[in-house]
Amino acid sequence: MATESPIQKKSFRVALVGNPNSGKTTLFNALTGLRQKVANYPGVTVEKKTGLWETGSSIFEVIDLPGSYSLISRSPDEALVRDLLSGNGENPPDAALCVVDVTNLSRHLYLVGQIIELGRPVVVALTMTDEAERLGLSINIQKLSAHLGASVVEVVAAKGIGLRKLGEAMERSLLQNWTIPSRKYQLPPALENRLKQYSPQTDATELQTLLCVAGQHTPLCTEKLEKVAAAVRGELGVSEETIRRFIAEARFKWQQEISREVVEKNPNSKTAWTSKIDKFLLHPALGPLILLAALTLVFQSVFKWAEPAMGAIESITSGLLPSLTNKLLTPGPLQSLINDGIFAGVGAVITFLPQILLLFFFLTLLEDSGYMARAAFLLDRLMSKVGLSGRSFIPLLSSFACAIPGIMATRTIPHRRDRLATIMVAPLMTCSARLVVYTLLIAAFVPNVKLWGLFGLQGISLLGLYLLGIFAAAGVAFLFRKTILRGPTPPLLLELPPYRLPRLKNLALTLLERVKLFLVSAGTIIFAVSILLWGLSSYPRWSKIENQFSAERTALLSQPESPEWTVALEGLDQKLSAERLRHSFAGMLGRAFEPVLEPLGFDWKIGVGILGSFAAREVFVSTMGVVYGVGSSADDRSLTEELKADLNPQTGTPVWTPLVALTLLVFYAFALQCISTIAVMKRETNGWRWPAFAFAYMTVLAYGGALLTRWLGQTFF
Amino acid sequence: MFAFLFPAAKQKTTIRIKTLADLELGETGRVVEVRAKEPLALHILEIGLVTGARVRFLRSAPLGDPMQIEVDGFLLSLRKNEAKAVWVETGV
Repeated sequence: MATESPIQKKSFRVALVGNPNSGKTTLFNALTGLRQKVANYPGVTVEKKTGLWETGSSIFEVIDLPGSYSLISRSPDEALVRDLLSGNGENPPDAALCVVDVTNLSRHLYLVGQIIELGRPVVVALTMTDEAERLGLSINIQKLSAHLGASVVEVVAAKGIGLRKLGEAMERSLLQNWTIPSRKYQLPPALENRLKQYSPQTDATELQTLLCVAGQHTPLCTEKLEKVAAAVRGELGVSEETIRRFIAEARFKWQQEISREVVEKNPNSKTAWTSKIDKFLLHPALGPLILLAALTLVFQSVFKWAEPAMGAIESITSGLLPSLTNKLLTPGPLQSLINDGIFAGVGAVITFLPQILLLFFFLTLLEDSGYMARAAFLLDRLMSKVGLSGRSFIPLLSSFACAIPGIMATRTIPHRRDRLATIMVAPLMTCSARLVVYTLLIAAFVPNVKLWGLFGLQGISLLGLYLLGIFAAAGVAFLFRKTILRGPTPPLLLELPPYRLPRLKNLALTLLERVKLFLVSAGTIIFAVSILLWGLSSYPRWSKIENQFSAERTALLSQPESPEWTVALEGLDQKLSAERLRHSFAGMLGRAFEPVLEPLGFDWKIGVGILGSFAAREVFVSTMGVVYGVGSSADDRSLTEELKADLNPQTGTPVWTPLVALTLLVFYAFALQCISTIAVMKRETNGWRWPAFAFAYMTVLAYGGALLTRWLGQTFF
Repeated sequence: MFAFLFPAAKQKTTIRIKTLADLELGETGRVVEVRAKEPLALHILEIGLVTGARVRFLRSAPLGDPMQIEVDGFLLSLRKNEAKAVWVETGV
């Protein structure tokens, strides 16, 4: 053990809450840095991000909660924040750290006011103070703190300013006896009177009675209190919702008063800069063009910029490492397992890390700069035509990286049918695992030429596949919203945040998290599947085949050495591994599926790849790596060269024609081959019904689409 | 340089009450009432379109909907359909 520090630090759990775009993530990253981890909440599947924040005398476990406007839940995200803070379900945090954008003080105080009423110690972090200074705003911190009844600390998170003070304020409010500030806002007299009249009959405070009357169910809402609440509503003749509206109106009035008193100069000039950019980016003609150009640029660069790094990784996993094993180990099952199983399988997938990082880099850039909400604004009308809203755009765009965060991002969609439709089509978006398969096949079968001297044909093909997924998603969403998920179009109320320069630290931490997740999956699932596939494709060894080949080999070896002899020996080795594979477990399985695959022009080797892909799509590449024995010592050809060289033993024609590749691409564009996505769908929709349905419709779409592609290809070309 | 792309906003000075959806391009107003059923009314309120809030219609999306407005110093996007529920006083 390392030497213990002499002071025993106290540890607390702190919930980090705030409106969207309040600078919450920047503060979280500033406080916790690299000591972050992502896990799931027990029971619910919401991704839970926690980090450790250490001060002189305390250790805080900071829980980063999703950005929300209100505790009155409209979306699953807001429900989570409410439940955690009010102590429904999981054990509640010791305190709340509320992030408030000082340039939006009046509006952001709404959530703070709601959180304070829940009764846990609250500290307010005022962010964007540097921006406020530029705008000439000055804030009276003491007054604000007095009004709220909670400590208020100014921070500039990106520069680390104010963080120490924040820690001290947090410690103070946790260690001193916390008293819930009294309610400051005035409700309609009839309601005020009833609260005064009824509260003494219960053991609760006026505030708790009010929360119950408004139907905000905290654990303090006892049965007795519920009855009183119902009586109050009955006497006034109003619903829970009307009470909530009373409260909201009263609260806003109070906030505006505070804000007027505390802030000098009205912050109206702060949108000036953003408005100027919006003039171009949201222009009726230029806006959509810029959006299209931006997306094209992203996909072109994902393809182009990643190339050198991918080549470097490939040379290590299929060149350096196998040659090292060859030196260290004698030929045999162990060497084969390491080279043909692990390096070929895991290596083939790791090669794609640079591309995935680039994609996440651009998506994070778009999100952090404030452009993502603009894209939703530009596309809302279009998306409402297929029954979705602009809100679905962000989950769907995230699905380009991976359907899992995409499906989880649908939690910000308040309406159930809208959300379900988005979840159902999210897996049609081209995720980065598909990108891996696409890249392999495009690099192998689409010529690397330029169209009009500007765009590479390979890049265009990739864009085409992305568009295929998008159009399929649109069609399916439209169909679902007209049939099983029919309903009125839900409203869209979307804040367009001011443009901001993305923070390098936020970007770096996001990418780091992705690298970790990717490497963990490569080290576990893909590692296991690679070993399994190596076993399935190497065994059983049939003595009849082995004997026949070793006899031929001995005969060949007895002849004198010559160029023809070397070629014959190599050919014999290849034939042997092909025969072994054909009669292995994998080969048998693949051949069992051949009748189904034959109409699509796929052979049993592709069948093995497709079957393996149901664990995760990128496994296709590692499977092909294992099946074609790329990591092995004898040759240093890349997988794309191996694919092109593979011949059909009966006809002698190439197995992989461009049409086969295209058909396979279409199949992968539509098929739901991802266990993790199915698991997330199950948890997010609370049952197997929707994921089963998604799997069924996508499999039909994939098979049908592939069949159609082949038929079109054979008929017209 | 790009002036031809941006048609000039019309100015009106008479005081009148209309919905947010009926604002002219560039016109400002003050919210007087939100007339919608729950839970939409509360939703509109909580995002910041409260009585007394100053709004300005900035632009429509390329296909005419949704609209972008400025509310007390922040930018909001909402559809014409929801904007019809928000009554504003103009010319003040």
